[in-house]
Amino acid sequence: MSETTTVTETHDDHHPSDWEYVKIAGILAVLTTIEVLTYFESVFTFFETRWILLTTLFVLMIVKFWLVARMFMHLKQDKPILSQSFAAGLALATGVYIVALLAFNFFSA
Amino acid sequence: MSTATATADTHHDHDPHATNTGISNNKLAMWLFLSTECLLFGALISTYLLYKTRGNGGVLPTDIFDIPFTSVSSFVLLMSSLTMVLALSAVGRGDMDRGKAWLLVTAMLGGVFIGGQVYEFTSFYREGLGYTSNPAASAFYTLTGFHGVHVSLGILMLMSLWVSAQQGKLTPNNAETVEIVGLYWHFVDIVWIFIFTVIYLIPPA
Repeated sequence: MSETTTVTETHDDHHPSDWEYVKIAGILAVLTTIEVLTYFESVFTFFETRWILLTTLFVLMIVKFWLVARMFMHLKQDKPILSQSFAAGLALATGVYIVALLAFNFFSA
Repeated sequence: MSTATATADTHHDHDPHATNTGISNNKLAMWLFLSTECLLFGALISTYLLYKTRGNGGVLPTDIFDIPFTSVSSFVLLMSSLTMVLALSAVGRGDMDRGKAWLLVTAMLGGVFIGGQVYEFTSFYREGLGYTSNPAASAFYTLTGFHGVHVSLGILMLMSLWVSAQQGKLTPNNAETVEIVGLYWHFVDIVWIFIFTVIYLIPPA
């Protein structure tokens, strides 16, 4: 049976086990807790420095996004064309709206 | 003609689901749809970022955010991604009872999130933040409202899967349907990951 013509052979590797999914969810929960704690500046006073706060929040957001897309949406196991399709839309949206925000002087405000 | 090619050609003649990419058209279509959704939510998020300080002298969304409350509903939506993937895993291995249970739990967690959003909107309205109060309010309600509509559609899809499973129409052979609904559900979750950080957690400069 040809690998390129069948639907049933779209998965290159095994999917994670249920226990692995639970562990990933645990990591996501910890990351969300850290995110929320940044709101309470009295807990971590260094988050009063804006660039530290922004860097922390963006890194946490990207890691959470990446974990859900790679593991829960199975991009890690599926064919690269799916990752590329999604990344194309994401990159286009990011580029278009950063330019739009620049045009409205959002970052200099 | 090589054996492999002959086999592939034979398969192509008889398999109505054969595709050039090796991926089912439905799954590829869902990924392409989600790709375009990035542009939709990108537009809504950018609009809010541009208008978030335009309160016309009235109350701004950032003045009345209830971060602890929204954190809980965000956590609920995040955990619904876990239950969704557990549902897919169960259906894939033929454990339909557990699959049905996880589908129902996922829909219920989505319902809790929507309930939280309704409560949030109601409390904001009581504090003077109506949809047309100012540009910031309009942009905020449009963004989070659109996301809420997506979650609601996801709940409807989950419930239709659950009904199909109850009727015995959902089997491991069509687990891909669960996977496609799951992709949509996870996407709604990652959009909220972005909204929660950019809209709620980053304080005004």
